[in-house]
Amino acid sequence: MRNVLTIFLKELKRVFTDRRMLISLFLPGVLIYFVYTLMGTVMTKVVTQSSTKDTTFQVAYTDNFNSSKTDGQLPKLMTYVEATIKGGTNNNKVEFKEFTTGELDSYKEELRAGKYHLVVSFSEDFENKLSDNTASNNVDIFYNGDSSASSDLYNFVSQVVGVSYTNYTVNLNGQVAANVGDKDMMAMKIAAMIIPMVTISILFSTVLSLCPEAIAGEKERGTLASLLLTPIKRSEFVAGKILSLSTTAIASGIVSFTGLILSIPKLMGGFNITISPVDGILLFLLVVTVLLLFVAIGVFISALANTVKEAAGYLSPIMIIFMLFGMAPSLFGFDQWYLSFVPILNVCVSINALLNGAENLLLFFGLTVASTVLYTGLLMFGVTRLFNKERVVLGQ
Amino acid sequence: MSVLRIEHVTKEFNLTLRQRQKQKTTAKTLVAVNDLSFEAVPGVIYGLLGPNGAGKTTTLRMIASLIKPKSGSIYLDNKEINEDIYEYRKRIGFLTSELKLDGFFTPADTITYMGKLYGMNDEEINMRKNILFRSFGVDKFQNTPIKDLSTGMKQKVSLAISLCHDPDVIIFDEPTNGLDVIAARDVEEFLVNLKKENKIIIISTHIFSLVEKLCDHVGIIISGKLVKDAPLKEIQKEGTLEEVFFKLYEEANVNA
Repeated sequence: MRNVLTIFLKELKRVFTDRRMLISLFLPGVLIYFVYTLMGTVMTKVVTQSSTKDTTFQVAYTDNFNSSKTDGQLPKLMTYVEATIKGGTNNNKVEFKEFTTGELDSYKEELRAGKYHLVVSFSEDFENKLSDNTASNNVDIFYNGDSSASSDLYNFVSQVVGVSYTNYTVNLNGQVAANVGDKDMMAMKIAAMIIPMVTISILFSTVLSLCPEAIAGEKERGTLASLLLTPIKRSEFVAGKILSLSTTAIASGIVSFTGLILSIPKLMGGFNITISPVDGILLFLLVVTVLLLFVAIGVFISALANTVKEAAGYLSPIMIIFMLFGMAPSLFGFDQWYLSFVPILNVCVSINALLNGAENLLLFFGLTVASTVLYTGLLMFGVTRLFNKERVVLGQ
Repeated sequence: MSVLRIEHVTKEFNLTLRQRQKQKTTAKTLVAVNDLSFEAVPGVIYGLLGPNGAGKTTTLRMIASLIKPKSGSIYLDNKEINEDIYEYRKRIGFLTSELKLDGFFTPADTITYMGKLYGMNDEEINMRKNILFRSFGVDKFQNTPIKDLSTGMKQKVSLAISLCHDPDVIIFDEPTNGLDVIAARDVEEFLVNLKKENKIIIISTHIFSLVEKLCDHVGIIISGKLVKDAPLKEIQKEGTLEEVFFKLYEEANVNA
């Protein structure tokens, strides 16, 4: 145990006192946050930027509000719309018209005819439902996709105001063209597809920075033989190496993963990402276990290779394969329990399911963690066995 | 008295397809060392002399316990080394001019690290560090990263670190290989000092003058076989070391 600790501390010192190594391990996580945030800000600005100028928007809405609203008073959403348009720099104005639910079809016709830019249909007692968060399926916003002014106004309502509704568009043929659903929920679904792939690539990048140097680097420098001549067991040497690499990889991986989780909502236009404490712990557990597996893979390859370049050469295509696994979760469901035994894919499916707020995930999650730990253990055992091979030790 | 005894040691390596193609052979294995036996005793420098590829380094690596022989045994004080390999390794110092150290660390860091792996406590490590660094002239540079040291100084640091655990048996592969004349002289003086300390010393080389200058006993190894094992003075009765070597070399080639 003393030898394991000696190797562990030496390796940690090697990493944490090497400025270049620290930069390569921890800077990407910080950069991810800033780059994705910047990209998101730019993209949102482009999307929400209105080209419509000097226009008086015509907005019609149903008058199904709570009893406290007096005639002539704008509903809350319309107040936002008015304030946003008046506060803009394009010299636009807005006029409102109330109508009853029975008149909706005729107002949609007028929307198509270009008389109105937006037709909003609130359900009965909408604002009370809004206050208890049940309003999301109780408002339809119609716009004319063939009118740029109508589209711009729709963008104002849906993106600048930032309130979640079920949205519909109506085209010139008068058919409902698309249901874009709950904005946050949709964004979360897209994020849940992206995050596993990006997670796998950033976590494996950490391993790519660390592992080739760990064993193949020692062989290349000729320092491995002198270490193995000391009275330490080869299993102690491997344990010390893996322990230090895992610690470093976990520290770096957590920074990168946190940067990713914080930046993805900004990348996608500022939607709200909500992860419960329990889901957060489960995500952390997944990240840690998959990192351990990656370290074991990295050390195994590094032990087989004779040079750092060779090890990196073997690991790079493996990373690409794993990234493909990261794209796959949308094709599979966690109800296919046997997938929990497919390494890497099981972790991607679990992350995807967690972010989508899936229920009854416990069995799949448990099997995923258990099988990942098992594969890690098997690889570590394999590395120890490799160190008994002279060809591996001497790098010949 | 401690004795290192090598008895009928044979070592084979499996050849990869690429190696077979390179060596233009169909044989799947290469016999690097063939039934080799000799003894090394304290206060005597044993020189293993042979051409490149004769099996010198393989023999030393087996003695150092880095690789295992296919057959045969190695004994230290009549104890087969695999009976307690970890205890044996504490008594062995394997030196090579090609030994590389991690350039990121300082000599002081490295000797502390290696000392701990040899099971030494802080006091023992500090004592050995002071003795070795002073005798090799490393003390002024002990806190300088190894990558910033000159080649000669790196070599001295590597020697000091290989001896940090004060081994009884010193194995030195090609001691002056790649060194300039001054560093080579330092190494020679260092070996003579170790001999005076009654260490068991085995060196491998292909340089006749080095053997004649340093060694008391010579083993000539050709194509993995020990074809001569005798005190240097006895060999020199037959002619110069070079003459004897080439005579044996030609005989070995005729018999092959």
